[in-house]
Amino acid sequence: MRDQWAAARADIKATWRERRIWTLAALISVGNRYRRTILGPWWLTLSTVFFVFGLSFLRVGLGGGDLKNAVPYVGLGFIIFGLIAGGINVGSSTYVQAGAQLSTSQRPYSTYPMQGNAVQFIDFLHDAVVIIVIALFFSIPFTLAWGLSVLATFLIVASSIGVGLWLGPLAARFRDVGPLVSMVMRLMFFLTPIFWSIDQVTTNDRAWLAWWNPLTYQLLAFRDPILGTSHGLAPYVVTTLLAVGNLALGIVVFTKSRARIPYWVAE
Amino acid sequence: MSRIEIDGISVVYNLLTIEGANLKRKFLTGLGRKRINAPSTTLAAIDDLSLTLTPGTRLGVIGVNGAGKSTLLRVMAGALPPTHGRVRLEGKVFSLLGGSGAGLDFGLSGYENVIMTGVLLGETPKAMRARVDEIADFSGLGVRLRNPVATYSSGMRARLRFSILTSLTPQILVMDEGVATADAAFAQRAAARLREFHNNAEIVVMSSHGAGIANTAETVLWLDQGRVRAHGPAKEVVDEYTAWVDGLAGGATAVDPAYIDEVLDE
Repeated sequence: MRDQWAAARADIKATWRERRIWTLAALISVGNRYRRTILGPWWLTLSTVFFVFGLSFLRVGLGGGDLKNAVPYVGLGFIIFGLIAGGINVGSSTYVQAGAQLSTSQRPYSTYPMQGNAVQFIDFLHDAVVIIVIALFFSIPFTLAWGLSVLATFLIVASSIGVGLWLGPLAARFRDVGPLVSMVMRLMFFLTPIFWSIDQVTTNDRAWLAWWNPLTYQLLAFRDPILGTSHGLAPYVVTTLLAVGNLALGIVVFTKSRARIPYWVAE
Repeated sequence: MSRIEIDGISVVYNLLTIEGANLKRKFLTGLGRKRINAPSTTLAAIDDLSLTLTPGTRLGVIGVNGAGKSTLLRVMAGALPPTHGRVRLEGKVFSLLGGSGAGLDFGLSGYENVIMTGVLLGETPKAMRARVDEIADFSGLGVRLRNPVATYSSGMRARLRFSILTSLTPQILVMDEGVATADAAFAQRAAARLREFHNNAEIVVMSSHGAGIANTAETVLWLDQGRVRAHGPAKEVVDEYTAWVDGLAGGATAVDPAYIDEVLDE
């Protein structure tokens, strides 16, 4: 029992010490994905722009309004959802993909979720350029409130690291978890108010569906301050709780399962 | 001072069978199809092993396939927590094990691979940059280090990998035999460098399933089904092992047939 905690602590400390290693590895893996392309990782930025415009036309077509409002709304939602969903997906696959490397390399086990989330964050930074461009193009003012969005971003990443620490081992032990997570996440794209407005459903009896979804709060905590809209304190409270809760759960599960992870992913 | 202390360790793997892992088969088995295997069986790859290694140790680990060599090396490298028992490691361990990610990234240039391989094995980027010229020189790759590894011939790749790995200076070196290899044309220079690489380390542990280990190791540990069969001076243990293997193959008559039966019964 005491041994488990000591081992997990040493593991996490080593990951912190080696932060340059996994950030470098994350940067290289992002670069590798686009090797020999002309745009490199900016393909990510371009495809985000492309998709956001497509979705914005859809939103205007379905619910009226104009592109001037639709593009910032859809753009911010889509980009932050990419970070949220990416963090969860990478969390569930991190140890399964590390595979045999886990028991042959001396890298601490908590490095793997950190590196996976670093990749997600680097992707997000490429998308963040789109946010700036949208803000400039549609003259959205840069206010102090943007600080809240930055805070929300860090809380989302913290939550994803926590998710990686508990979902990662779980998905390594029970291989049905991975496919289950990606199945659910695909539907979450539609259950989260990315291109539809949560304020429109509050009047009908399906409103609970949107508010029951924790990702909604994370998304709103990021999008509201930039757009100058508000849904009260709830998004910030829930986003903070998700970060704290997932990290706590992550540390407990990681500590308990650490010594077994390499056995679950052995070839 | 470096030290490896292993106290009563066991490593038990759960061997999943197809029936246990596949839901469809599980249901079909339930519906009256004959069950071929138990859902899960366990295998003790290492069975209650204790060992202390101090500076100056040159240990070879031998045994047939599946004897537990790789598992023991993983535990010694601190990469695999044993299911039972304790491991204490002191000193900078450096492991070259199959699948350790010490392979080259073909998309990166030779130069970037020098940095990345070193960094993944625990060196700082700065220390690796300082070694680049020497590695370029020894591998004979020179300015080709600027090109992606994908453009190298297989001989060039092997030389690069070997040059990077042996440029490092570990306190404790744990390696699978054959992980640091070089092509024939390069072999003579490589052998000298490999010796130097070994000499620089305080503790060296190598696995092997061949008798050649006696050339590099001073003591040899013979593993058989996760247990220590013999542990002592390299030549003695290797001779004993070789005789046993020949006996198993039915090639030698020097071994008492009753001894083989005894071994096979175990």
